[in-house]
Amino acid sequence: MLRKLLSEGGDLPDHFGRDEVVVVLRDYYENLTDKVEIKTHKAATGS
Amino acid sequence: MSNLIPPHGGKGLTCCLLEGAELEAEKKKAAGLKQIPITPRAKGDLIMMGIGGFSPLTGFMTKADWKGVCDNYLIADGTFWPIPVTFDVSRADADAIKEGDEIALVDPQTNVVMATMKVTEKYEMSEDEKKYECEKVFMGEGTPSADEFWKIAKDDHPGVQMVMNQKEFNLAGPVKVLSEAEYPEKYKGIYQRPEESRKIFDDRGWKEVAALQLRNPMHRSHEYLAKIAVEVCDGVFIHSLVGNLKPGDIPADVRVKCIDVLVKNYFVEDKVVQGGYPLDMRYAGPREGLLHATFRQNYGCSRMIIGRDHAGVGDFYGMFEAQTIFDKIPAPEEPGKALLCTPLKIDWTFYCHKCDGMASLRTCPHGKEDRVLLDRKSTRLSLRHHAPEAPLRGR
Repeated sequence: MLRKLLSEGGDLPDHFGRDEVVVVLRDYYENLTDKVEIKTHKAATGS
Repeated sequence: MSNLIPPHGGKGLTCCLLEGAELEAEKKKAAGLKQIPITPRAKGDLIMMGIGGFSPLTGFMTKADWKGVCDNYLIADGTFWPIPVTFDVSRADADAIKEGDEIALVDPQTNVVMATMKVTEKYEMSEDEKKYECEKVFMGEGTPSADEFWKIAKDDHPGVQMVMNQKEFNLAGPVKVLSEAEYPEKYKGIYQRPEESRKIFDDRGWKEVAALQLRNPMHRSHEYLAKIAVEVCDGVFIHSLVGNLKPGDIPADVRVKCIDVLVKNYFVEDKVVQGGYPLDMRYAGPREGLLHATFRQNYGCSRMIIGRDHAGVGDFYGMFEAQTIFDKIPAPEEPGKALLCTPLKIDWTFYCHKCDGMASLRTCPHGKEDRVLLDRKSTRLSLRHHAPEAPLRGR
């Protein structure tokens, strides 16, 4: 879900992560050249 | 003299990775052996056997091991082990290999020989036996029946799909590991062997170490769990999966950077060690939680943090099934054979606006309208159903 939200430039829930962490993740997604469509699947996959 | 928990199995760290002249000689020998391609899962298993992460395992499981693990969480010699570690080959390859043969196990992505193996047993795995493994390993305790399980598991459970797609035969036998693949170079400073993490813990004078399992970016709930662990242990080992990734997964280096900024800004740095391990997910829910504890014991951790829905797969398991399973596993009496790493069980955690901070069901008296649930499943549910207990707020 996090990946889907970020890859689509969406808003994260408040207090999901520290601002410093969100900056790193946003930077990664903004500089991603090969976008992969993230599909939410019934199977969550770990912590 | 180390104060850390001993490795699992009572034999110290059993490392099958060859080095020096022995490695060179085995590589030469491997070039003349029958080459068998391996899966990413087997590659991770081999590296773990190489570096002692899967102590006391030194090879792929026999049929007796497989059956014992499925039925009773015990390999044939009576040592606790939670999940089958088997190696499958096609019927054609099995026909060309006889018991006693040595074979070379090759990573088809890189053509690197990862290991040699002396085949001590070759056994067929029927469809019924694969289904048996699935029901024993992947079926949650709340599932009403095997029929109900199969109605959804066949299409929706990635662990079940992995087992059912395995080839017709398994090969068992001891391995000699020849490579750690890309991990030492690609994840320098993060990828560690158990002997390395143990040395770090020893150098810090730690005795009780809690492991935090991560495969996604570290969010506030993970931070909270880690901080609870620091309160009750000497330190916390934030241990990320750096094994095979699926398209769309956030790469390990980005996740590591997230942990770095979090530790730098919000933790007492000498209470935290960050590391990575080379396995794939097995999607085994509660049993995977047991596997996490088993190999963390080898890395020197005496506690395994198990929160809500640890290693969860969709809705297949109860929210705390990965905690309660620790109370149900056998405890062999023979020294070393029981799992010694114990769970650090933590309740449902969330951010509470009224508490003005992170809290859990054990500490927060407020209503669900005040709570923000931060995990992926709850966020997904909140989007799907606009659930009031997990309000989304734009940044």
